[in-house]
Amino acid sequence: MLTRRHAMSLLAASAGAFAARGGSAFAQAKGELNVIWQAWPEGHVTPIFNKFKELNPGVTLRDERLPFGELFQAIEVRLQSRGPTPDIYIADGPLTASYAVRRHLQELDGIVGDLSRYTKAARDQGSFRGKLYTLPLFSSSQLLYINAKIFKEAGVTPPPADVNGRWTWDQVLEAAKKLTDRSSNRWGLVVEQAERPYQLLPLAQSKGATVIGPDGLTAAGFVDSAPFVDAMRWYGELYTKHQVSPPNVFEPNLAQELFATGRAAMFLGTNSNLSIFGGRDGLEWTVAAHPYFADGKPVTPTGSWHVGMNPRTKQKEATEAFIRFLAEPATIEMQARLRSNPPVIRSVWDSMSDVLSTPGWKIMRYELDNTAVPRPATPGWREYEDILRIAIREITGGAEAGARLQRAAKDIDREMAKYRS
Amino acid sequence: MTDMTASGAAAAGRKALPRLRQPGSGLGLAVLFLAPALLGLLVFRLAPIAVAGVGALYRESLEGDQTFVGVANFASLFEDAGFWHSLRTTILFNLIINPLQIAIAFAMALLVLQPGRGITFFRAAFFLPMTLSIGLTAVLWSMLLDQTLGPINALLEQLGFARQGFFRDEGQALGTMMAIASWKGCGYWMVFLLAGLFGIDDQLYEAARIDGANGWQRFWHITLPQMRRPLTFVLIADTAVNFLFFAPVYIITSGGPNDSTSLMMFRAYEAAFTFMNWGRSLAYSSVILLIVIAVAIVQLRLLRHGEDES
Amino acid sequence: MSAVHGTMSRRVGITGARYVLLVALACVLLLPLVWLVASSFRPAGEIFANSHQFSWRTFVPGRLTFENYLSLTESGFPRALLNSLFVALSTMLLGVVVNSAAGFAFAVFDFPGRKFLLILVLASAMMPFEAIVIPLYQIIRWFGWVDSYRALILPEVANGLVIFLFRQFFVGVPKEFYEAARVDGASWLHIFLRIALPLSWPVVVTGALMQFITQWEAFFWPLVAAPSPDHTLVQIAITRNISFEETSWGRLFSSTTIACLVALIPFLAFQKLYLRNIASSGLK
Repeated sequence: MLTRRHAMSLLAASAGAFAARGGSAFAQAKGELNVIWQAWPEGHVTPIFNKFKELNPGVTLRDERLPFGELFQAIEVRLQSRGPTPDIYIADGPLTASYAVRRHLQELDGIVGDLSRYTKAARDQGSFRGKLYTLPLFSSSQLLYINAKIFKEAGVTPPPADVNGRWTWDQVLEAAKKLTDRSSNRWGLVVEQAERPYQLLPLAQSKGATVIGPDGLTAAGFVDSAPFVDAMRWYGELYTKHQVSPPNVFEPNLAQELFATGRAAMFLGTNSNLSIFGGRDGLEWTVAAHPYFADGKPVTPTGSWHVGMNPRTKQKEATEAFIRFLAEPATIEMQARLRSNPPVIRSVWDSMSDVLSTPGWKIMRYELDNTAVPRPATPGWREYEDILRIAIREITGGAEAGARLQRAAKDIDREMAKYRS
Repeated sequence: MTDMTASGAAAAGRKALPRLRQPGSGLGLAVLFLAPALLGLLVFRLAPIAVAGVGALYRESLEGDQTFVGVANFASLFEDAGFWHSLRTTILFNLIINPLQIAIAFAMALLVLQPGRGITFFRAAFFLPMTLSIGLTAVLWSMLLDQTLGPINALLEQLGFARQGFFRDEGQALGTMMAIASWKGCGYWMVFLLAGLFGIDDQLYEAARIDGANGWQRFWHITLPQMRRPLTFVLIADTAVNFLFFAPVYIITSGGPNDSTSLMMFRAYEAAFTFMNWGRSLAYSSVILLIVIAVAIVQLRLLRHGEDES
Repeated sequence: MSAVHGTMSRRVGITGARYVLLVALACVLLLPLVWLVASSFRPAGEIFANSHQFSWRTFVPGRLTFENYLSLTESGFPRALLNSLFVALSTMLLGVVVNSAAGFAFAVFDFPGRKFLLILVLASAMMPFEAIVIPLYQIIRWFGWVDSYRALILPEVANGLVIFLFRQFFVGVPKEFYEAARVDGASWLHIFLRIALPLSWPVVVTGALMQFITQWEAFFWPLVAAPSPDHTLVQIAITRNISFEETSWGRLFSSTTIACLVALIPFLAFQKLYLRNIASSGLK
């Protein structure tokens, strides 16, 4: 886990990197920028803003930090009223296409320059129809977290902290059956985002499913395809037939607590948990690579947070200066160190090797280079995600996977109609 | 305060009152007293409502261009079985929760009306849940009632009962929503009823006692009639609040399990912010508004029976 | 007041039954909050450690920590608390004046279209807010009020339900009170301020409380209209402790506890006012 002081000393060191790029690129920019950001802990955000202000004394930042719960809704109201503000706003990667087709995003190709420095997954998330619309800020990846104590007590050998030796889902299930003790409320496997496509599309993709049509608007024939249904049926049986996973824990923040308080033998979750579990006394844990289906290939989740530029901004020059600042490898490094998230620029993995060389980070670097598949680029992501989420929720509650996914595909296609024109 | 004296006095002192018989003065005075409030409502509520109502007749293109489509948004709503299901769910929810909350709130108000040892504590205790916002109420209760982590299911298990699904059980979810809404709301409505009870003239009770009326008779013949206006207010306000109830549905159940908590207000919100279909959402909202107004008018009519004005 | 009850022996029984009910209700209403407050004093690892077992431990922290409260002082929370107090109190004061006057007019004056106007006033409180938030935001932007206290306060001053609350009370005041004053030559403003308002203390107090609580709970509108650090309101500051990747449970609970207790203060102050003013009002 990164301490604040650690981060600050590194920031001082990286200041040289900013200076070396020449202040002239944005030194002249002037104006007041209205920036919408997510309300991550203040220490993860403020240093970035301060750095920009330091480099651009002519620009003042009016920043708004919105809590995650209503972030999309508040941004939606602001964008749909089609005014000049916010100049810049935070965007979840898969929403890029939605904002782009509705003319809420300025193309960034000309502003950012060479894009090859970004990881492919992050670049793809920010692009729509071949153009970059949102700038990647930081990424995410997943690990299988292991409660060493529960494994030891049950006499089960845990998977190694290495991508070689990655368990198949069947191995996970067999171990989970031995590790589950429902009478003492101990579960074999807890999945962090137990109903979310971010987490669960890779299960279907591991079995070879394509999760959306080539036009990005068709669910029928994909969401209800045989490999997709197989994967979700298997997943649902963790809760119903095998009962190795806790029913109805859909809040990621509560799922984390099950592992953090020693009631989950295995926990499938994002990189953020490294620091959460690291801060809990008395918890003995290790990590392993994300499992896969034996009859398929390893596929892992990834997703990134991006920033978008309002095309109606009246502060074009200052906004572009901020975008260029956020595209600097030095900024990406600063952000990755503050939040301990995987960086989206490849060179930063090397410049941060002091932090990113633990077994967990080595696994995630491998995943992001080889197995990570971002969520599909579709203007109807919100619709797709929500309808599928409810379907998966009900499958874990006992709904028949085939019929339920067929209904979901039909519902998604109905909502997608408005994007076909 | 009886109807007889009021109307008698009104007849005698009609000259003094700026009623219709004195054209101009009533209107002018009314404008003076009404202007600040009506201006605020006009600018910040009624104008946006008009925009929204008109917006329900338009379809917005992806780029934001508006096309007039007449009642098409409503027509597609009425063809949707999901709409009728959410209408039935909303009506069922309100038919149960409004009388329930008011009955409990009335009972609570009667319980804390008389001074006594620790009554200030109980009044504050009953009101305290209202100070928790509806979003945090949802977060708190979803944790307390969680099947795996929640202390309430732990208690049930220790008492020998099976763990319950609550929000996660198709048969229990809507009832659980009513329960947490009431947990938060009853103390609030209690305050208004308490204010009404404080306003009842003690002499009325004294006179009834001298006439030999028992507790129940005094409640039936004095308290209830005297509480008609505060009750009318609470009924209408509570109905409005409960028709617009949706945050816990959004946060906890997303309308499920199996559409069992599919309230119209949630569907309106979902149409706007998840399905990006403002025309549909505004049509939903307009239907909600019309229903609540209709219900309020009926409630006003029913409860006005015997009122001294009109 | 005790005369309402029957004979002495029956009174004891009734009092006993009353307190049994009071205690039972208080338990149902308070225990969830006791759990919340207790959790605000627990270290992060302990909040859910034993939540699957029910005992006195559910309501009493094992290891006590004040860290969740101390760390709030370094965040934007104190500022947000003051912002909310300012916004809620301003709205309350302006709102009581504006809405009581309107309620008085609806109850006492006769003018064409009164019933229709009253329905319109009620309707203003019955539209789903999500449907009007975009036009409302556009109006505020047109006024140049975005990100200001004005944007937070002024749209919430006039309140249809509060007007209706006042109207319901003033309709019930016997007309003789007003007429007598009119005969004495008092102006309507005088009658409203000196006769009607003092008579309506319980309603003034509940109306004020209603407006305070509405603003205290405000979340979505402040998030849209004025979310910058200078104008952040308390519910937004609380909710910032919840993020998708990680929730700071301890701080979520400590900030919630403080917000609830602060919102209780006007209630406690007002319920004292009830008693004093009922005793001295002209109605008795």
